[in-house]
Amino acid sequence: MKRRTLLTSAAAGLAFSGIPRALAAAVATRQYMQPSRSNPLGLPRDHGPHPDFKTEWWYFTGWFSSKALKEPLGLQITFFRSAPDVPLENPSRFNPSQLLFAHAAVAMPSVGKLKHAQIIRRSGSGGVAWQTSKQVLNLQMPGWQLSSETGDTWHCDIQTPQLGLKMSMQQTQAPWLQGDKGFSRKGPSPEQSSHYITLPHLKSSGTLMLDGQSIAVDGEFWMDHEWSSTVLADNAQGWDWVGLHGNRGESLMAFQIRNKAPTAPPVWVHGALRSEDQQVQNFESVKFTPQRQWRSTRTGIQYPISQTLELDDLQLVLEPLMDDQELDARSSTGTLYWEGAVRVKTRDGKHWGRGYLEMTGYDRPMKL
Amino acid sequence: MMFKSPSNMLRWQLLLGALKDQPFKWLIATLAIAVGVGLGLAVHLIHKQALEQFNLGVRQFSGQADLQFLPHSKELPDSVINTLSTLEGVSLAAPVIDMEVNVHGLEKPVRLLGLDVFTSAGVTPNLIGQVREGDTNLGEIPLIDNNAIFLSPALMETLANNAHSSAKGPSNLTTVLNSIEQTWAIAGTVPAAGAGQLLAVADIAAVQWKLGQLGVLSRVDIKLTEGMSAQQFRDRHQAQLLSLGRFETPSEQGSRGASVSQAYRANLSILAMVALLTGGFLSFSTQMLAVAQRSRQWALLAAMGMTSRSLQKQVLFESAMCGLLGGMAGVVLGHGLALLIVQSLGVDLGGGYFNSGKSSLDFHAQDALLFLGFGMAATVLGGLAPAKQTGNMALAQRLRSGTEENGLAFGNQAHRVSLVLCLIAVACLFIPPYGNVPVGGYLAVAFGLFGGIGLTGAVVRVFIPAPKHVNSLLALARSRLSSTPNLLAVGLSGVVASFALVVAMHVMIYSFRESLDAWLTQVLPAPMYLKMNGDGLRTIPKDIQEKIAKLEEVDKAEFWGQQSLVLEPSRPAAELIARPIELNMATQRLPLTGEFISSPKAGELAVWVSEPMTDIYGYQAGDSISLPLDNGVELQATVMGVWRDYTRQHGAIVVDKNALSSTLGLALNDTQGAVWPKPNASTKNTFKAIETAMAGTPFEGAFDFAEPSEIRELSLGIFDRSFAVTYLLEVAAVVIGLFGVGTTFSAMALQRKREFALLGALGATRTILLKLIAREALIASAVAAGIGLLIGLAFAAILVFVVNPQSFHWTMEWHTPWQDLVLMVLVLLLMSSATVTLALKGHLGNQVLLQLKEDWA
Repeated sequence: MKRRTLLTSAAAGLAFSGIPRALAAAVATRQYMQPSRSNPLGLPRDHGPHPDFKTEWWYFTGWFSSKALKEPLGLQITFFRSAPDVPLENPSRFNPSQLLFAHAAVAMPSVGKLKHAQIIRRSGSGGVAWQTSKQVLNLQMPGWQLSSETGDTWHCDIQTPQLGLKMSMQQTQAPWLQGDKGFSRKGPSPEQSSHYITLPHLKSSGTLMLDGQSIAVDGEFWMDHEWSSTVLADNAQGWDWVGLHGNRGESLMAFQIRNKAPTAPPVWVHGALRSEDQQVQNFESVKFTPQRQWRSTRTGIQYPISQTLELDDLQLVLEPLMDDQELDARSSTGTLYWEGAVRVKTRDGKHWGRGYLEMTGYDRPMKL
Repeated sequence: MMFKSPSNMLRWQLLLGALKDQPFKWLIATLAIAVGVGLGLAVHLIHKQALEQFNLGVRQFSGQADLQFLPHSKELPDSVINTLSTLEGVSLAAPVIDMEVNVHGLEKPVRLLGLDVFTSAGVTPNLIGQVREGDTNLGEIPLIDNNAIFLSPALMETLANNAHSSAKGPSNLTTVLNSIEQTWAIAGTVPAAGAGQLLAVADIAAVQWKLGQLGVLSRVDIKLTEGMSAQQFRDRHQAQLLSLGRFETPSEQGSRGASVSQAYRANLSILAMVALLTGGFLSFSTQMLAVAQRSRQWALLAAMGMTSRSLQKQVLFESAMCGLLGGMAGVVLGHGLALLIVQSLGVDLGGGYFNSGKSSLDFHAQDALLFLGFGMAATVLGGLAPAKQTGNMALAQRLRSGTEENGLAFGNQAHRVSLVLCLIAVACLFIPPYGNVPVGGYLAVAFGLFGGIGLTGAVVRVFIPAPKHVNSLLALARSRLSSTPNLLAVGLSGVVASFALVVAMHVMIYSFRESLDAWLTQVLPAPMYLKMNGDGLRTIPKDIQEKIAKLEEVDKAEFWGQQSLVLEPSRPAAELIARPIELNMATQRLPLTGEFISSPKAGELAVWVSEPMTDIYGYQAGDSISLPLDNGVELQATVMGVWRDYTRQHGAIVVDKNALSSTLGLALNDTQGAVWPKPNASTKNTFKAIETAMAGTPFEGAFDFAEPSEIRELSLGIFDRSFAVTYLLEVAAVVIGLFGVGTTFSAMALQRKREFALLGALGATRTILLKLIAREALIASAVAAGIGLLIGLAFAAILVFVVNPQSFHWTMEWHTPWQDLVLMVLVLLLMSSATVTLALKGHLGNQVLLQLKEDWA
């Protein structure tokens, strides 16, 4: 319990891609920078950290295959940065003015549930740092590293007793600046927004260490980099989010922020499709409809693990790689949610693509 | 109780008969066993409890750490966390600040931990605060908030009792450190803290910032990666980090805790052992004297078909019963004593090593049985010789009477064995101690006791020759005693043992007290001493020192501080004392023992080490040593000499404060001072002047002052209190000894009924008989006193010169309390004659007639 309280608040905004989260009681005295349309993004510089914003994450999800395995597997890696509201004048090396944390989860149908590792540290001591002088990004915690020289290639190295991985990711399509040139609204009021860059279809390969066994894997990562300082709307209960790779090089991102009142319409929705030739289509209507429920035997929480997604006239069905992709990150990011690899079909049953579905706020309102 | 078998029935009847014959002797033997078992068990229980408490503390505060990185002295530079976190083999490195602070409204200081929740959660999850539910004013993330503090239940309760707080309990806590106040918001509890423990936990960055700890750490808790052993890791990385500190496993700290109280145990255990042996001797003498007396009983039983073996068994059974009863009483006594000591002094016997919470005592059935076993072993061993004797007596011998001395004929050779035992005892003195346990000393005492007592018969033969003419009562008494040297030796063995015990303890304590007294006079040269009484004041700053030194009334003022220094991980920390001491003043300021040199080697600082440093670390005058201080600083020094120190058992090193600061730029926190007033100023006025000068500074009313005489009185008071248990035992031993003498002689006299009857028939009156016995008692107790005194002095020498230096690592001068010893001998002589006379007075008249009838009718 204690850790959840700590980390849920510590990890202000985490654990899922796309939606910054709320801090209830905080009376902010620290001045944070706010996302703004008038701040055009510059790449590759903006692949790096933005310490003046309250929260930030680099989020990788994707489907992978290996010669050693019969079935495909899902992989999710997220690095977070958070700037808690503490006095900056404290000269202590341990002043928690910037926290770094991360987690990684592997979904293998033969295992039947997620293999998971996590870490949280204060930045600036104990081997925790980010360097931006030479590289655009180099996030380091003992046993965890995410780096990129220029934003074209990315490297991730994780060594923990639970799992290890060493992955390289290569850009194949131009970065996709979400929303209005990277300014992405998250709620009815203008400050409920973030800066949001997606790198879809990253050609990725590397090795995975599971139970002392090393497996070579190949596949595609979806990468989101997002930063903000804002809060969820008061009436938000949680969210459903997808980042999907289409078979023909398309990229689809959609989310809904659900209302606390179960029957009320969502607080906010958004959906956009980018074709391989980088034509972006923003959808007028975004609708998530549960198809199949699954209840976790560990937590008793029920998640709609299969959903249909209606985006204007595009209708897609999401089906999980495996049912149990519940992620208990209460001891690092403080959240308990479902985040899993999904297959995407059209309504007539044709294979459309693959991606990740994230569902939060099914245990309790995400508002803390 | 139900006994189905008739032989069991008989066994108990015989035992009851034996008890009826000599109730007092049996009682005394049982009491001695009870004292021995009780004392031994109490010492053992207290130690066990101390160890458990210490280990519990280590476990609680080290959690699941495989290793801890600790400073040599006080603090680590906090940059070490960067090195440690990324060392190969480290899975987690958690920085910790562990300090004591004062809290507004509380007298006792509180242990305050500064933790990084993110890393500590993986090592000491039970020390992570639990945020109070429903409080919205605790900041964004209470666990890393720089105002938030988490309190142990005991601290919370204490604060709630003290303050007029709201129904929810107190919401604030104010720490005071070096006169700086800091208010914290109580954000929750540390529920896993031990019972009664006053503990507070806050974020490490907040503690560094708000309590003046920027840049430093107390330790780093380390978890290693799988497959990496602590030893492997240490071998690989210790050298690299040796300048800053050392890696230790929690269990190594546990063993250091055990050695802290080891010295106390040494003296008390030796007492317990002697008490047990005394009980054994008393049981031996009781049984041995009864062998002959009960010969007709045995004869009857033998005639009825009882084998020699069964008779032997009966004797052993009776001895074992004495041990069992004494042992059971001892177990009760031991638990009571231990409980009393633990509750009044704490498990560290007042040493102040464990500042955590309440002390309790658990009952350990195994230990109780073990010590009960010791008691029975002592009496059964004592019963072996009598049993053998009983079995060996021929039937004809049994039927005859007056054969007591004949039965003990083997005693004529006892002195040879005894001499060998004495030689073994002397040889044992050369056995080196095992850790702090003076094994050789223990063995020497055990062998010496047997050897010394075994010589009693020989001493009687040499010093009490049969008189040529029996022309007086005294001559008759001498003649009587000289004819039965072995009987006398047996009868006196218990008395000799207990008297030796009394003498040994008394001489040791007296020597110690005298040495302490002399030492106190030597180490307190100044007319007055200053000490902070302080609310959170831990250091006397330089400006305050100067202010005092410049006062009109003050001729000279000196201030000093000390800091612990771990020189060897398995040993408790030694103290480094930095005080003004010039080279040529050392002989006057320090109670130096042995040789010393007058100037240090080039490039080295002069230090003077206390005796334990010589014993433990082998430092000798003239040695060059290197002391690892914090932050990679090494103190290169020459040992100038060795001084005696009765306060810091684990060693102390004195260095000149000014030299330390000029060569290494190092200053310890000064906490105490000595003031020499000008000739025309009294200490009282000087203190008043100091108080006035402090007005308006944070040090207003912060000083206590004491004159040497007060400190001396206080110290000796503490000494007397800590030896109160031993004084109590001395009294018990004297009583046991006296009863021993009285009952032995009564018993011996009653065995001589026929002799007295004969003397009566020859015309001796009852008065004459009594006088005869009184003279015999006087001579015999003089012998007992003489032998007991000699053995006692020898034991005292072992205690003073072997046991104490080996266990406490300090020496003391030998002081003989002649007056007390003479008094003790006189009391023994008078009381033994008196008790014998009193015991026999009522018996003799009728007995004589009855005896004549019995024999001749």
